[in-house]
This record gives sequence, C-alpha cells and structure tokens, in this order.
Amino acid sequence: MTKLIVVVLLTLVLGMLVGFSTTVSFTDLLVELFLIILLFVIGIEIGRDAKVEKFKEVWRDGAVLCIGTIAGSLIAGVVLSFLLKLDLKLSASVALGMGWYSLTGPFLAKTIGSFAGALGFTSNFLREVMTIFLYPKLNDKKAAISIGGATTMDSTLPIISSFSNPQISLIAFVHGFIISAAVPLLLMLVTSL
Amino acid sequence: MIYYLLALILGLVVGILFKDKDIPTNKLMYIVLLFLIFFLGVNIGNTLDLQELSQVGVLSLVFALTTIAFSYIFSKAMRGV
Repeated sequence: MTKLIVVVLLTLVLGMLVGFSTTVSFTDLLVELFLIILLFVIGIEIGRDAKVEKFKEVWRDGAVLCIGTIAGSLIAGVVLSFLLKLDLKLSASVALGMGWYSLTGPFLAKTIGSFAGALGFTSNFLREVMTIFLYPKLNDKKAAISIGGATTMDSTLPIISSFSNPQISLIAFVHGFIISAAVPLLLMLVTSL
Repeated sequence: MIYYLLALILGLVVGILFKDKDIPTNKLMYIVLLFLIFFLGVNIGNTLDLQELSQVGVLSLVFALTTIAFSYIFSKAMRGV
C-alpha cells in the first residue's frame, strides 16, 4: 500500500509540475478518455461478479453517502458562517459546491459577486486536491468517498479505485453522479433565498 | 456524463458475458490509473491560478477542510444508522 501511495503521489506531482511549466491544451480530452477506459474496466470487474444484491447494496450505500455529503457540507457552511461572521448565503453556497469548482466559481461570481466566485472556485478546487491526498489515509473507505463530493464520479475516482476495490469504486461513481445532479439545484436554491 | 455511464454499462455487459474468461483487468486498471493520475496532475497544474489562490487562500483552505471533515463525519454517522 505504501509503495502504491508513493507511486500515485509521485505521478500526480510529476503531472502537476508538467502542468505548471507548460500549457497543454488537450489534457481535458485525455483525462476524459482514460476515465472512460477506467469506467469500462471497473464495469468488467463488477460484471464478472454480478449479483442483484450487490447492485442494490451499491445504490443504497451511494444514496446514504449522498445524504451525509450534502448534510455535512451544508452544516459546515452554516458553522463557518457563524464562526467567521460571513454572509450565510455566501458561506452555504461555497460549501455546497461540493468540489465542483468549475461550476461553483463562475455561478457564484455571477449570482453573488466576484469574491464569492473566487472563494467558491478555490475552496472547491482545494477540496478536490485534498481528497486526492487524504483519501488514502482515511480508514473507512466507504465513508471517505463523501469527502470528494461531486468529483468522485470523475477526477478523484482514480484515487478511490487505487485504494479500494471495484465495488467501492462503483459506489463512488453513483455518489458522484447523484451529487453532480444535486449541486446545480442546491446552488440555485440557496442563492435565490 | 453520458459517456461515463455508457462505458460503465458496456463494461458490465462485457463482464457478465465473459464471466469465465480470464481478462487481465488488474494490470489494465493499474496502467490506466497511472496515465489518468498523470494527466489529472497536468490539468491541476494548468488550472491552478496562484494569484487568485493567494487572495482567498486561507479562507479557502478553512472551507475545504471543514466541508471535508463534516462530510466524512456525517457519512460515517449515516452509515452507522
């Protein structure tokens, strides 16, 4: 496991250094392509051991984790609003971005203002990056899916797959899928209050 | 999003159809993961705006850590229910 953590982190840091020093325009496409291949391979792994009970369990676990993720993020936003004396709407909507920085940043910049946009972008971006570093360290691999928020169906799925098993990877995909559908709705709801 | 779903479903179908065949998925998954993590790193390096990050840096870090901690605690509690 330690060797795997070192290999994964070194690969990530190497990629980040390349990304810092050069502007590669087609990485989005490559990430998407490899993600599609990864999901296909995860599908094969699950399919080879397919049982109806297992699928039921995946959906149940995914849904339960989603409730925890949404409730946890919302309460974190409310708590931070009181502790840091920030506007409740701003604080809650930044927290409810749940890792989807490319949506939260521009959305909040347009609806609340540029400060909210910058905070929404960077805090959700950091949530994604920190998930990559924290997931391998957390003991409860199922509950730990929730820290990735919406990103568990794409960008943090490779890390979750590296440090868990195909069934947990599928739960992470279901979780990310539901959260990705919920984030735009929750942001619209909170910013309209 | 639809391509991800289709890939997963196609994989499931292939897995069910070739249940008894020995497909070397572990090796393939490892290779794909390394490529994916490398390009994810490149993407992060390209996207990271250090100037913007320094302006709201500490606050962003507090938000990221708190949302992560609360989500983990709540999910752990929910699973125990």
